[in-house]
Amino acid sequence: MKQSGDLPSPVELRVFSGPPSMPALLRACRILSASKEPATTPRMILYPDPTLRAGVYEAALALMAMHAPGARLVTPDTLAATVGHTR
Amino acid sequence: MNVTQRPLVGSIVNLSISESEDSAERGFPAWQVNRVTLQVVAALFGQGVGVIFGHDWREDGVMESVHGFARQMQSPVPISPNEAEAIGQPLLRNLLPWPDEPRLPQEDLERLASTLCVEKAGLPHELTPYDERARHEGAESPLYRYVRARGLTNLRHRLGAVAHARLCLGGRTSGAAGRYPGVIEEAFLALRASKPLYLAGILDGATRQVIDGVEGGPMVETFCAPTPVNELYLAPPVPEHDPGTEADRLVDRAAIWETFGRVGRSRLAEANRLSLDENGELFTTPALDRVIQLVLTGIARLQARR
Repeated sequence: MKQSGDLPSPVELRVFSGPPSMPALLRACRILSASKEPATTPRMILYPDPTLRAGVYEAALALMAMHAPGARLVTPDTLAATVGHTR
Repeated sequence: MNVTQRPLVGSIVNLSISESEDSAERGFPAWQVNRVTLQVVAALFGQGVGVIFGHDWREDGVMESVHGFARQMQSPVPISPNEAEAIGQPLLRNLLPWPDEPRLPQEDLERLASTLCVEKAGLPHELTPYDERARHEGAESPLYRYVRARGLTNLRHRLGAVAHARLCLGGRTSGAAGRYPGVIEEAFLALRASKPLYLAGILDGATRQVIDGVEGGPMVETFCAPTPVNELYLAPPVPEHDPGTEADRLVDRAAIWETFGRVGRSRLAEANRLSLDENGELFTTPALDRVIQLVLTGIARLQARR
């Protein structure tokens, strides 16, 4: 995904191989917020489609806003669905 | 956009997807086409995109599954009707052509109203007085068949008015009850009105014919081959004088093909916001994941422009 330009480079990335649980997401948020990368480096948590279901999705975004402000929670489809806002 | 909203919330896509005569040969028998439908719908719902179909729930259970996805992805928090409309809810809509009645009982429709809306498209204004007579004369009568065909065109106009974009995959090239095969008429109406249209060639069929037309290829003999329904347009069983529907009462397959060629890939791209190369990839890619990504990218660019 980095090679195809779907992901920015550089990027501070945490990747899940399945839908993340809230505790796992919290741990990933803490790692991202403790990162020594420059603040300008995008921070992302990537997991595979499909996106989280209603309720869980909103809770995950709220958790990220609190513990890793500015970081994005994305799937490959989410990256495609937000490309129009960034490219 | 609210930070906890899905990125494409508020967008609505008219999904036109069905088997084609050659989709099984390409590895997509009916059950695989249903699987493609579910994957596309799940991806659209997952990003907050509402989907509208131009048909009722079918016996094969695919719409039950589609509705299951809508329930998974739509926020369970009750919202006002105005808010719901602003964010494109309910996520799933079915618009039915005349004279179809919803297959689901009214009590089910009311129970599912937060995630599902099933409506009848009705008839063009001038044909409304013939509704009962056409039903009474029966499905084989010229009046019924003509009114049904005109009702299908009316449905496709209404789908285009509700949706922000139309996505076509597959579709039969013959045996249509309308003046043209459904996908072809839907693509034609979208292109004529410069509405965003996504043509994915993965299932071939009618969508492939539209792609060939857009790419400037020669018209094939099977393109909108004349049908008995077409003959009814030459001598309609009821008079219609509304200049607003005059173009809908013409049957001219050469003109349709010419329109596709005149629009071409460049004007298609202008309307759907994918690049020329991205549209070319959508025409040919056999990878459904890539089809989905390209469509989401186009919708995202459309939404950013709105």
